[in-house]
Amino acid sequence: MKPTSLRHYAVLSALLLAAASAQAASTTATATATVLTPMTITKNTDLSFGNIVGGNGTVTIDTSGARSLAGNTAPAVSGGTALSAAKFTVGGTASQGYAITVTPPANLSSGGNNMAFTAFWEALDTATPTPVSSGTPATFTPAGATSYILLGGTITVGANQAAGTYTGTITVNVDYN
Amino acid sequence: MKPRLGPTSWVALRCLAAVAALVPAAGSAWAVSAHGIAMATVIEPIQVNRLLGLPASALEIYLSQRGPAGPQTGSVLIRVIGGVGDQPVAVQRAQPSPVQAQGLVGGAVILDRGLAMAVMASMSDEEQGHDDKPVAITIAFN
Repeated sequence: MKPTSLRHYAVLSALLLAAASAQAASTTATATATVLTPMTITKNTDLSFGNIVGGNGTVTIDTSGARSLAGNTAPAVSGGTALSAAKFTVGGTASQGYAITVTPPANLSSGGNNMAFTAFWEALDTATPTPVSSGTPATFTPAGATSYILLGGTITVGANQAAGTYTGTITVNVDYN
Repeated sequence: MKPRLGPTSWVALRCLAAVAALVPAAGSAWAVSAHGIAMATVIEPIQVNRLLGLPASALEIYLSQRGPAGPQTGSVLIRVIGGVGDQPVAVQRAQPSPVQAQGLVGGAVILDRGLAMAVMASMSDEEQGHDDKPVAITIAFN
């Protein structure tokens, strides 16, 4: 190779390098990750309607555990299991919203006898109920790491409702949004 | 002609599929559940339709309602019936003060489940004045 050609290659290489550095640009991206505390849920209290005498009507336990009657009387009487709303304590990450899914039984059952059952609930930052007798919120964003789900319900008592202890299982599921 | 994927591309595709499969699993992995029990107890009412046995005083009624849980205590429900064979027109919880105020005449009998009683009541009707009506009593003990 001639010396002249070598010079030409050197000049060309220098020009290419200069052009490449003239087009260089950069930016930055931030990698973030949020570590969430695994959710927990604990049942503290079951839902109890107490003692009831048959009658055409409904009995409701609100989220404070107070009982009310409607319809053509389903007399509720003292004694038996203490009245209470169901209470669940939820643990997780503060300010991280979560979904609430409640699966109530269609009926409370005693052997082959049934009473229709519907549930309602509220989610709160404290365990103090509002209270409510309706509502099925699907999400909640807690202020702190601990929140509460208070659940009440309504049963329909027939005129000749058979005596017995009626029960049903309620499943409460929570999941981060 | 379809482009053919090289070995490296297949590996990448498999990795993507694995990540895609993990995404929904990661979401449900946070879910937790708890179970609660809903419970109600329907008790058999004791029907008393006529005077029975020993007299019962308002004090006895009061004590039966206010005493600690046991076979001699419970709530008394008075079902007022407009006439023989009529359906119940109203139900009220018998409270001590109304019982005394209305001057109920009562009788009582000791049953297997405790004190039961039957009364005749002089019901007050604001529009038509006082009237004697038969009452059927449902007594539910603890």
